[in-house]
Amino acid sequence: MKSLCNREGMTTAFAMVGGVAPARSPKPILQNLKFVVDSSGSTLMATDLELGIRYQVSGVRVDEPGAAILPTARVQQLLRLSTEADLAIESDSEKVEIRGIRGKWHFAAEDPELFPEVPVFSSKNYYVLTSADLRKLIRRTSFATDTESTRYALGGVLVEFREDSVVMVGTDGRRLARMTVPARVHGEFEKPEGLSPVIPVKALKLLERNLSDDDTPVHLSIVDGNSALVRTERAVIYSRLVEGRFPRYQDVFPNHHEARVGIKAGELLRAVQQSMIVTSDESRGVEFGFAAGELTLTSKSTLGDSRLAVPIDYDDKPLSISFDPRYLVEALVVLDESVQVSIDLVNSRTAALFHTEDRYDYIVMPLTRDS
Amino acid sequence: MSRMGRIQKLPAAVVNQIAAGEVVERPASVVKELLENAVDSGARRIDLAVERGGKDVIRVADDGRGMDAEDLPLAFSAHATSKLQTAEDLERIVTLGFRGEALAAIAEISRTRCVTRTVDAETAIALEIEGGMHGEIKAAAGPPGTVVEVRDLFFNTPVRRRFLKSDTTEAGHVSEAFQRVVLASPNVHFTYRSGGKLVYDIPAQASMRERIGIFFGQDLAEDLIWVDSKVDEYRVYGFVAQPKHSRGSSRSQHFFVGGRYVRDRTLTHALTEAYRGLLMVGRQPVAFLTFEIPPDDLDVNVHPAKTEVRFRDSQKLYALLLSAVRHRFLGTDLHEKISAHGLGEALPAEPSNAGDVPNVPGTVSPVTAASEAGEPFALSGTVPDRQSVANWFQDRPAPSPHSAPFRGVPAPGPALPFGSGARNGSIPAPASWSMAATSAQPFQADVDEFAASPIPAAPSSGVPESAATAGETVSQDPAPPSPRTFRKAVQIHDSYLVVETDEGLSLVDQHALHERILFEELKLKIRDGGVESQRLLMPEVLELEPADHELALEHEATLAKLGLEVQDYGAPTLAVLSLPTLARHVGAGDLVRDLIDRFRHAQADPEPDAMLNLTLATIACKAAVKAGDPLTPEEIDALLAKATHFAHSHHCPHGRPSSLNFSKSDLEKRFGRT
Repeated sequence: MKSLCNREGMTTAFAMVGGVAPARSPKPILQNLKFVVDSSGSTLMATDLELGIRYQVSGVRVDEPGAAILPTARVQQLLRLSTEADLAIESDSEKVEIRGIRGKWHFAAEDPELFPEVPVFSSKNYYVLTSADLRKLIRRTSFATDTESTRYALGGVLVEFREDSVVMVGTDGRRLARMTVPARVHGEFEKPEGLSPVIPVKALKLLERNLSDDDTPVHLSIVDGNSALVRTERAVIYSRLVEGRFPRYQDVFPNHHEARVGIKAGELLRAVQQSMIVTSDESRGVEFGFAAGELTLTSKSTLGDSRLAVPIDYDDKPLSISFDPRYLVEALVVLDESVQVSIDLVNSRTAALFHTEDRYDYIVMPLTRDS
Repeated sequence: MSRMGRIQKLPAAVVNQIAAGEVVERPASVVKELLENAVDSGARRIDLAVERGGKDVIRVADDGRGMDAEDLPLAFSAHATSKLQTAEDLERIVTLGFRGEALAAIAEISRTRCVTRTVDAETAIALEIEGGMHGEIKAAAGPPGTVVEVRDLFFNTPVRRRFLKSDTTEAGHVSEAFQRVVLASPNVHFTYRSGGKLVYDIPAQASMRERIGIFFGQDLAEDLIWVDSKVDEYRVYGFVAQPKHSRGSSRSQHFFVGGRYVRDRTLTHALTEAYRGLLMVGRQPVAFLTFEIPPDDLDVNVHPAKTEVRFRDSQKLYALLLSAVRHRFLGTDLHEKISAHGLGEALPAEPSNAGDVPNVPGTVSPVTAASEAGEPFALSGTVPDRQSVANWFQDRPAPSPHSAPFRGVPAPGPALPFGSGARNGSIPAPASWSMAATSAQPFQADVDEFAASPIPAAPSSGVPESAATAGETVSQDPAPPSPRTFRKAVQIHDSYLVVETDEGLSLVDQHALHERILFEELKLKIRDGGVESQRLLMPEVLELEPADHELALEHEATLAKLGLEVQDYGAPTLAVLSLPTLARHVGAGDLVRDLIDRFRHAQADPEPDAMLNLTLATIACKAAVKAGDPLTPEEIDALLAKATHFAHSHHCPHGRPSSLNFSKSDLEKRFGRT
């Protein structure tokens, strides 16, 4: 295999792909990346068998098609330190040579055939949504997951396919985030069977990094009920689904509310962040006191206490409820500052629902303090 | 031949045999009775010898008053005693024995020979009794005093004899009985031979600590903490052991009342409370404590063996013991010490055996230094709180209870040894200091004695300052006993911290320390109005063992108080509706199961407060950094800084030590620098 690669293109590809290669593995070849050059396009790939990525590298001149196994960390270092514009990457059965104008490096060769195949996107039926929307789905739900959970499949985000939309749900049992975006079916709409797929957070993070904030179409499909494939502009990402059952999340949505408040996301975020200053790991709660025209946030811990008043548009009966402010901040930072958030409340012991116009729902269970 | 069922009066011998069963259970009971008689006779030296664990021979020789020919046969008949005359005397018993039962009972079930001689008599006299049948009194040879020899115990009650255990076991019981009498009777020379071998030889002048050392080992003797406290006419003094010396049962708790070893649940419980959080679960503290109680307030005539007594005011005694021990712990460095040559540091001073510990029978309520000094804070009729005890420690002659003794004029007296460096340098040295303030680290402890009792800045009205309220827990003390300053610290093996301290070097178990800190923080929080609890969107459903399920529901209220709301989902399923935020590192299942486990192993009727502590310990344990967790320097600093805020940071809530200390001088010794 012989190629001349643009160093920057290669660096970008390494940044996207390198994270997937495990640092340690019982199958040592997985600690490397596989680089395939072909006249139809050059691909850099990595997998840990749970998660895989094929990334199209730009700026590669193919002199002789073939494949090479590149040691991830060392080549990454080389790419970072080198100042050359282009590097030649060549390999035979004995060694891999990376060569610039002023230097060359040899690495022991490994047989590219031994590298496990990373699936390609071959689905006929899939969902099409914009890159920006998929990114939004991920950003607004994946933070609410719980990778430690052993009882439920909470270590990922539940995906629900509808005829015209895709829904993602993430929860850790204390709060729940649900986002809906429009989507279009390519091919035939398959009524989902059995359990809804849950995509692991790790895959979503990788995916998020590969998504631009624009209208570029992205293809999403579930294969054989056990894995997800996503095709973006440059990459194909494969992930096994989280095994296990996702709880019946629909049950936790409050069916009525006693009070409703509207506030700008940015305003609420700043208020919560200010009130967090005196909370501690052990004493987390911030109390939200809703009264006519004013929201008062109070917090108290061994560090001290704070009190903050925010004018709001509120005319229901006074109500106070405590939250772990972290839960609110995590959701509010992924929203645009100007987004109007509505808060539906029942009482101090039941779930509060935060929702926006663009079909985002966030349910948080309150903190209580029995004394 | 009489028909069955006809009621008839039993012959005296049978009555005695039946009664004997109550007093004499095994050879050790005989040993106890004979030794106590010997002590009562005013002996200065008592020799005990047994063969085959006392089954064959028990021999007790004393050099006491002895008996004359008139008294001797009476001594062996029932309800004959020299120790009281009228029923009123029962109200104020000052001797160990008084019922006049023991010797008769023993004689009934053994072959007993008694040789005795009063000081005035020219010769000794001897009496032999076999199975209750008295022989003739004969002249014999012997020194002044009494020798009682009991052979073939239970020879005429074969059932009893069959129930005796092996020689070794019985000898063990004899040893225990011997130890209890020896510990209760200072100033008497005791020897004990078993099977011809000298087991113990306790000289009269051996102090309490030395006696403990002989019986239970030097290690323990060196780690004893002197306790002495008095409220009204009640006083407790003696030793409690450092928490690292714990036992699996309460047998090592020696309580002496009126020179008598007693067992008492109230006292055991008070002691356990005082050690709460310092011992691992299921371990019992070791203690040697003498109680002085006015004879009027005490009923020893509960059971022939007299190991049970009744107190008129057991609550007062409970509070006295609890506060005395707790207070000492506050002022004592309980950190584990590693010493250079296996020897402890300077041992705490203790009252010399002769004068200050008058627990010879007959002096149940001696006048103590403290009562001479007056008791400005004796809150008569109320439970003594920690503050009053603390005040007592620095007590000094005070004109009246209403004149705020320490804040005023410095009384004549030696200046404090640590001078102006101390927090309250102008405090006059207390009169009873040498007795009260004893600790492995005198200097440190001294400072803390004061720290434990905040001194008002300005004289105020005559009301005694009593900042702390009864029942307040130790951890809330504003000033920790060992304000160690940490200067440099590194983590090793991701598990331990090596810390430079003012005194030398500390090795800290990061998990144990963090656990203790979290535990104390939790306690504070609970006091400050409840634990914060995160409600769950979806209840966590747990499948439990049916017994566990029941236990969990039984303790539902305790769980709720901890922010753990559970609901019955139909046995054996339990739904968890909320979790304490502090336990967020702990899965609901783990937490609940662990707590249930603790509920199960708790005492028969656990106090809610104790259960709460157990629960907090569980949460703390789960939430604490584990051995193997790497810490950043900032985390290490934060951890160590917090440690100085809590009084019990030297032990994790389960009682494991959290740090080992090497003093600078230890290090110097080891490196041969001195």
